[in-house]
Amino acid sequence: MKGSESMGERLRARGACLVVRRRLQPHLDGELDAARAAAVTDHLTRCDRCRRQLESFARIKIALREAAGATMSPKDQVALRRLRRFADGLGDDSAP
Amino acid sequence: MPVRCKSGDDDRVTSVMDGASLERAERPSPADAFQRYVVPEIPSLLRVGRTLTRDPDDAEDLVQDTLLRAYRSMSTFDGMHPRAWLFTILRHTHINRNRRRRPELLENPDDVDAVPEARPSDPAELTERAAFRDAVIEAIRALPIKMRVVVELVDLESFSYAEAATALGVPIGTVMSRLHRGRRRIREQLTASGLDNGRSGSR
Repeated sequence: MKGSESMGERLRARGACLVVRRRLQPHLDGELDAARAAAVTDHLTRCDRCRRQLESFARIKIALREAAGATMSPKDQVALRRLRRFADGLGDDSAP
Repeated sequence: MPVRCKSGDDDRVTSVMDGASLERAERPSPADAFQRYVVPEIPSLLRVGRTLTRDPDDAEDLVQDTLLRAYRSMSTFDGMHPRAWLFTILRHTHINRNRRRRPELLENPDDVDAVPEARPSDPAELTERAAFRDAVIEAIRALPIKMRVVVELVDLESFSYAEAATALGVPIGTVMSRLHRGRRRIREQLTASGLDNGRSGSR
């Protein structure tokens, strides 16, 4: 009896994990509504596996943010300056 | 207190400026709007342009064409969702350039894996954080182009799903699906490299 209860609990927990994992990335991106976000947050306080997965995606997101600055090579920086000058030149054309 | 102002060359006075008039009055000139909405996005345009073209020189040309088209469109731009609007121009400009120059690239971009750019590094000489970041960069460069662009827009450029969907001309569900698969692939690659504890299931 106790065994079947624990299996039922495990199945419920697994079902909850499946739902939450579909929502982990939208949660990370701030795309969930308040109720769903709260449900995910609540689940994460009780589930190490889902929390580790969220942390893993969060690390990737943070690394990509950092990479946005780090991947600008000197050549890119020169291109950027040329493009800014080009953009400023367009503005100058509108002057009377 | 009512806002009083003169209207046109005659001396008619509008006693209360309605919301629409106020909006018109507050709308910046095309040149100002270009400076406000477009110029700050040039680094993002260049990054995404580089992903789309896979060539730094092509990317610069693409962004230059995009800037020109954006500038010419400023007078009709309504000020709503400027990033989505601007990146839609980038995408259209890219498609038009390819149509003229390299039609074969339009066949099925998903089949074309980005060529990983050589980036030799010795993780032992780097901090763990830098090694992780480099591995993420390598992993994202290995993604099919459609996935890569979505991951870049959302993670590098902080686009919302709706903005990315508008910019790419696809439904939000497609953005979510490509993002989910893209990040999962990145994570799998990191796990394979021993840089992520992704043993807890990837779905």
